[in-house]
Amino acid sequence: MSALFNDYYLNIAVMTCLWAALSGAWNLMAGYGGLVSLGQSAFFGIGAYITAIVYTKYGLSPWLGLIAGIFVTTGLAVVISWPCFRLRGAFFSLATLVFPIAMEIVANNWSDFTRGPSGIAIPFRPGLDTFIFSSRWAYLIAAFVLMMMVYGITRWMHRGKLGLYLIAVRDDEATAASAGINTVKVKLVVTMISAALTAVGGFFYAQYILFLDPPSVFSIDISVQIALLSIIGGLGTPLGPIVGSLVMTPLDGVLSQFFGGGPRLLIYGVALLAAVLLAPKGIVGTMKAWRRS
Amino acid sequence: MTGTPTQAAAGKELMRASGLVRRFGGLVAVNEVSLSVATSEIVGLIGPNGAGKTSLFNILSGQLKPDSGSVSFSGKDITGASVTICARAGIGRTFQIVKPLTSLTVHENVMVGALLHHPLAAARDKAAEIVRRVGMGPLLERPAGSLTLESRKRLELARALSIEPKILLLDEILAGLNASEINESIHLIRSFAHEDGLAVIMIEHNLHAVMSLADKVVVLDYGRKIAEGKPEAVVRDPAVVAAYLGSDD
Repeated sequence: MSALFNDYYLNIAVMTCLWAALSGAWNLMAGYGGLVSLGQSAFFGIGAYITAIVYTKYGLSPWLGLIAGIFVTTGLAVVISWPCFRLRGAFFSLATLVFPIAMEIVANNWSDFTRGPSGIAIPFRPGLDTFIFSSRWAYLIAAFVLMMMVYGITRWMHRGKLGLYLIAVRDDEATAASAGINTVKVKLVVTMISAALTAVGGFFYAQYILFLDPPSVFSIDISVQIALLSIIGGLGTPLGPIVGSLVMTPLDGVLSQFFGGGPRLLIYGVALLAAVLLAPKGIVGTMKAWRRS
Repeated sequence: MTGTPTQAAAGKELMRASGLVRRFGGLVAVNEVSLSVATSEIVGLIGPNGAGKTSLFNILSGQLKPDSGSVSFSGKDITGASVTICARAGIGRTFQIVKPLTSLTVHENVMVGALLHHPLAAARDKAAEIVRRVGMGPLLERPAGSLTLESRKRLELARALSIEPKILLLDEILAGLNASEINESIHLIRSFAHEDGLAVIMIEHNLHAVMSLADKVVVLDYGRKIAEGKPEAVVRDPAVVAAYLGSDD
């Protein structure tokens, strides 16, 4: 009983760190560069699927899958960027929405590799080489490290050269260009970093949950959730995604335990609405404004 | 900002525009305009509203591609080059409609440009130096979004300088300033040309400023160059008088 109880809360802690990392990767693009992507689940799902396919179909180490996933998603980021960077604001967001939808269709139909809608079950063989662990504590440590890695990259970028360039491009692209900034390159670099980190999240998810099917990793809900956590926590701040996930992920877990289904979504929606109305700059942004005044 | 102080005037040719044409639909905004500017030289670009002055600037700084004609800069052909490439080559410009990066401080706005030639720490020092030079020292850490129009205009100038340009294209930076601010700016612009050896082309409606600063004045009207020469000669030119005041016929 106590072990079950413990596992339940450990799972929430793991997912809090994972969501914070995914949202942090999105925050680099959207919070700093103004590239409000709704296609992050494409990177997430590809990272997860490649890990699972390399491991189950070819019997190779999932670590190889991780490396392959990073390569494929950064490559995809370049392909996606080409048409989407011409679009501004909401049009960019809508265009990026297409990619996870397309990926879900591919995953459903390319059965030789993905086993289609029935999904891939990953055999439980614990070990560091398989990145599968018997104890959830190991996953928690790994998820925490991943979260801190994203946080560290964001800190490093925040007010550094890339961060300043991204904010410049977000504020006014013409002004940025007249300062000699190659605006396309700056956007491309941040999209590739974001895609790679999101693929690492996908790798983690595959080896943690040990089961994948197309909707569980490519769903638009994931892309939206990734964005919401940063918006609630504070866009364009290194801590924002972590704070957002610390508040919302446990809330979501507790709500689904006590209510499930409809009431859960209703309460979650009200919490979201309250956050956006009361703290439009996110929790971190609002607290900063308080401290200043 | 680059190189050593040079002798006033008599520099060597830095930028040359030849036969530039730019049409917008049926309107010829820039019509066969040629222009040259040397290092340490200040060129005043004047003309009635809608004469094509800003369009000409947009061509010279890469915002607009000309339909025909060419632009050379530092001996290289840069016709149709992008804004980024023009900026990297050393063309600094201000926008008539000021465009600060509103979520950054004054210091950071200027740092963005200084990063083109310096690593972070050096860019921070360089940017602070430029901000002080344009007289915005006390506003260094202010958010650019909270500045008055006058300060925003100075910030435009600081941003143009931040990339350490060889030429400055100044688009009505004196408009809206009071008399003492205009005098300060005149001294500042003169120092860019005579102490730093920059070439300057300035679009300006303030004729007092143009007369006291410009080595040469170019007058545009309906997209065409109607006069060019020493300031005193140009303002007496009948074609120029007609363009500003209307002709008798």
